[in-house]
Amino acid sequence: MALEESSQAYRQLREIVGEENITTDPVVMDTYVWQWLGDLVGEKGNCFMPLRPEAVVLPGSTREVQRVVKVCNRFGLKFKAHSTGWISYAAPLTEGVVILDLRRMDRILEINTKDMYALIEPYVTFSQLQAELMKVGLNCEVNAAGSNCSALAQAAAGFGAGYGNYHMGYGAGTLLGVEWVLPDGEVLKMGSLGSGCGWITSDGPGPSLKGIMRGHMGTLGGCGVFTKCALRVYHWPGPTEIVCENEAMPGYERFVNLPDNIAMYYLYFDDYEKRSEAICKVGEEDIGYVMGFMQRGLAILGLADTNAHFVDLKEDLFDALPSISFVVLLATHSREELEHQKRVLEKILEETGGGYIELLQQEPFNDVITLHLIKVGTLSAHAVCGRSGAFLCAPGSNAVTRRIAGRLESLSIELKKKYIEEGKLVDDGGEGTWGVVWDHGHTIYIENLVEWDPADPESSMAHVRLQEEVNKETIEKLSYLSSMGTFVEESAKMNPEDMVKLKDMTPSDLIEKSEEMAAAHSPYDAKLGPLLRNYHVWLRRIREQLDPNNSSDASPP
Amino acid sequence: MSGGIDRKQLVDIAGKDNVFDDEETLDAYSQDESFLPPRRPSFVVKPKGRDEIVALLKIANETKTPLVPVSSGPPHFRGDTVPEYGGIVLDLSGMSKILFVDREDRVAMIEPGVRFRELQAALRKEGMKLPIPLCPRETKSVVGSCLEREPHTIPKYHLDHCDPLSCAEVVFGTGDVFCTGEAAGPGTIEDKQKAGWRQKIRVEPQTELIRLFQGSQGTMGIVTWVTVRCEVMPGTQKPLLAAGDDLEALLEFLYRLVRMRLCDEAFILDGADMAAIAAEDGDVDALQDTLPRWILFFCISGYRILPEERVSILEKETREIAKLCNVGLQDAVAGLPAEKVLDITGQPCADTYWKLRKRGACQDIYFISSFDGIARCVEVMREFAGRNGLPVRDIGVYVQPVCQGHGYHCEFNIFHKGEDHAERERVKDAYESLCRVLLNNGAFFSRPYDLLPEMVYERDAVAGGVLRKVKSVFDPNNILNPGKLCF
Ligand SMILES: Cc1cc2nc3c(=O)[nH]c(=O)nc-3n(C[C@H](O)[C@H](O)[C@H](O)COP(=O)(O)OP(=O)(O)OC[C@H]3O[C@@H](n4cnc5c(N)ncnc54)[C@H](O)[C@@H]3O)c2cc1C
Repeated sequence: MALEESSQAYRQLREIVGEENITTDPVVMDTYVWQWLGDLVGEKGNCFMPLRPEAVVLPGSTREVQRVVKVCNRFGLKFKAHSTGWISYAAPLTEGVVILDLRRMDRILEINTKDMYALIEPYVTFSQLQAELMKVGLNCEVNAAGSNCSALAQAAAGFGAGYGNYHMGYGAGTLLGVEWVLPDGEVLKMGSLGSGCGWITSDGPGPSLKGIMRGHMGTLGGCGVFTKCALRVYHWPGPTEIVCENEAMPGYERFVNLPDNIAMYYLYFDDYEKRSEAICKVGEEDIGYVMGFMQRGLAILGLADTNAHFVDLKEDLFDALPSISFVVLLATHSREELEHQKRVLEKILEETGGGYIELLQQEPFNDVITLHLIKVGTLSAHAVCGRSGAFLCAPGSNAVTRRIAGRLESLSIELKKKYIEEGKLVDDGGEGTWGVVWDHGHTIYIENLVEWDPADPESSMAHVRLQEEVNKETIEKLSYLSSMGTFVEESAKMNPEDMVKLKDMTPSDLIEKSEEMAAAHSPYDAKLGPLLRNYHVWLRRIREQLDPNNSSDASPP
Repeated sequence: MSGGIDRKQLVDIAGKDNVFDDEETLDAYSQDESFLPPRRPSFVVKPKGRDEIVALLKIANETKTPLVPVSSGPPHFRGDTVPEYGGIVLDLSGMSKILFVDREDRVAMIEPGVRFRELQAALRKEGMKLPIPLCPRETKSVVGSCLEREPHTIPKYHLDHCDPLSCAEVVFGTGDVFCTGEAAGPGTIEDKQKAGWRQKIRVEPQTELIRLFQGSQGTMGIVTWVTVRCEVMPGTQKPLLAAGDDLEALLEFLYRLVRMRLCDEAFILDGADMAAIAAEDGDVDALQDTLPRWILFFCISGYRILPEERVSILEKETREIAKLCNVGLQDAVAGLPAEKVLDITGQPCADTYWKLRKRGACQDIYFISSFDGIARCVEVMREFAGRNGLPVRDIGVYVQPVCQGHGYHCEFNIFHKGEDHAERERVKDAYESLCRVLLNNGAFFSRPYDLLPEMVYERDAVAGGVLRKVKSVFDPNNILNPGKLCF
């Protein structure tokens, strides 16, 4: 139900943001509802999420955000932030939600070269930020979703997996000070900012509230609005501007001014253990600038222009490429240092029986992949959405230790092949692993990506069944259950109305109701929570403290 | 009796040899080197494991008795273990097992009583080391240090203020036992280890609860073990020094070294701090007389593969930057070799703790600063000292880049004569006023101890309010170390 224009709530919201920055037009509001993963959460066969917002407002400042939040609290409405809006969770998950589209808050407020941070608003994209940073010899971690995503949304509210996690950190690790409009409308200036001491840290005074702000993932719109944050930035030894041209592959950019202190190496290994060993050794020797994996099926998806091209390219390349690999970009202060790092890499390959994938070291692949590792660009979105329009990972993403990585990857490849053979999932040969390395090789982050057709309910459900199987195996064999995987498995089993009920459960409901009640209303929590020492109960207790009127929209999972 | 608890109940839980209420013991735990007024606990209990801690929390909650956890041995400096409301001090120093060291995953699991020296020895056998704070005192618990977010001296491995802490087992104030991060499950720690996990991943799905227990001074929960992230032992090290009167030039050089990831260890000390550390059992004042005003120390490392080659390339790059910054590099400063600085700052302080060597007592002031704030705060401190009759020569300065150069830990060490009552009172007044002046000049007291919380949370009332809400979830009866921070 849209807000009546005559209602007091609507009038107050309009007064805050101005006539031109509020709408209840169903056509416009539906654009916020048609979402990636909509087929899993809403009706099968299309991407509409189950619920339309009450209204969409476009606040232009923290003050306006705060006032909107207070109006929502006052009138029993809920609210949810939307930055670049690439993820379904930016859509309403409960009834009565006002969407705050933050696109007017799009400024880079400061680039501080000495303390190495960039102070940004929610609608600043990675490409916007990275271009400005490179001008002053700096760089930022770019989420592998693509350079068109909000840098703030990923760091404060979303995920954060990207090639730069190798030495620039993951998620919370990339954040310094944060300005957070809490669900009750209070503004928390987290860390040094609250003491009037600038943006240099978000930890303290005393216990760090970053601990309740995000974990592996963020609040995903479920606990207030982040209106500004300082993101850590890092030294960039490359050119101040990346000159690209579009001719190498149809539709793909290549890096044309690649200097001689930057080089990409695509490496293969005979088995997963040796690959994990090599990754750790690269980290221990402290070489490399960014790192990641794109298994051959996925790499071909990314390099193909059209579906027909994909079929041809797969025919040509799949068997020519090794299956177990990772890619590392060396970017050093000098040519001499690059040569040294290359010698170290060669020694690691010698010790682990690895080698270079010569084909990908050559043009045009070399330039395209190098550019992707630095800038991300649109290649990854193209790879995972270009063929069928929907993707996710089985198992859902998380970081794992060295002994787990290969087993997790191979387990999901085997399970996936069956559905590919049935023609229900995009045929990447089962080998769609994407991953990154955290904290100079301390941990490895793995996703085995699966693409399906969201317009075909059977295809959507094939992905859900695969997810169920993977979840079962990972619990049994690896003492692991991914939260995203559980979300997919459980949410797809429910009809959209139950989904809404689930999200409306308060913490006290959850704590006080019996286990069966919890199971009936919140299969996700009922399944994952007890396996993680009732983590969900503590989370909800904290959220209840911060959001006494339950006015933030629910946060999945 | 303490809030209704009697000795027998404690003895039933911890055994009679682990419950103390003799005057001497209670006095020893009633005060520390800080300016907090002493207060005796009613009991000191030394639990032997988690289950005893859970049982103690249960009766403490029933009787609303304060519990104050402590892991390190004396001398304590920060007032955080002085039981402001009496109650029971839980001394965890007897829980001192190294539970595992894993070379493949570069991680170790330890109990609260484990100290730096023994952990380093165990890691060395596996070719690893733990990056440690500057020359910690011999009795300092590694877990305690991690929980206090003490920075270590290798900025490139200091990725986050949490480091090197990974996961922990915590008994919340409610008595519930939780394992943070990946350690939460599925399955027990044993199941997870069998499957190949090593409790290294710090995050839960939507929280990172370990961050609430760090910096909390024991007010949120009691930690029974942690895992710490370790690094490989370098194959070759090239320590170097730079010195002079120009702090800003040294800071500029330090900034570039860290930004470009050219070195491992890196920090600046003034002559007073360097003398206190390097004099060992010799005469600190005499050594200070010979030292320059500021000394920058850093170390370039090579690891297992081609270590010499790496060091020589990085050294060349470093020397070019030094030239640009107008900074001369030396192997020794005033007869103090860089090798020796590397050696003594990278291990616990043998004999007398360095902060006590110069005058017998020391009051630390530490805060997180922006780059520009460092020189400003040093200036502010010197001016303040001059105006308030504190001898500037007796104030040590330590500047440590943290989080890969995203911010700086600055520390002023006011050396004073602890037993001289008048001097102690003067230093106490000066300490409080100076902290206030520094706060007004951009010094962020991220870990406010003893007399500082009131001023800090007055400044950031919203954070205080949110912290109290969070505290009500984990310790609803305010049993754990009441009176600290904003609780
Ligand atoms: C093709 C594709 C690939 C992806 N790949 C990756 C990947 O490799 N790594 C990765 O980490 N993620 C990935 N993602 C997930 C996600 O899109 C990213 O994390 C992204 O960077 C966040 O930008 P967004 O446009 O999704 O933000 P939004 O959709 O605007 O926001 C994401 C979530 O955060 C909330 N939110 C947004 N802004 C705020 C705010 N200011 N305050 C409070 N809450 C807010 C929203 O409500 C929403 O729930 C991918 C998504 C897609 C579609």
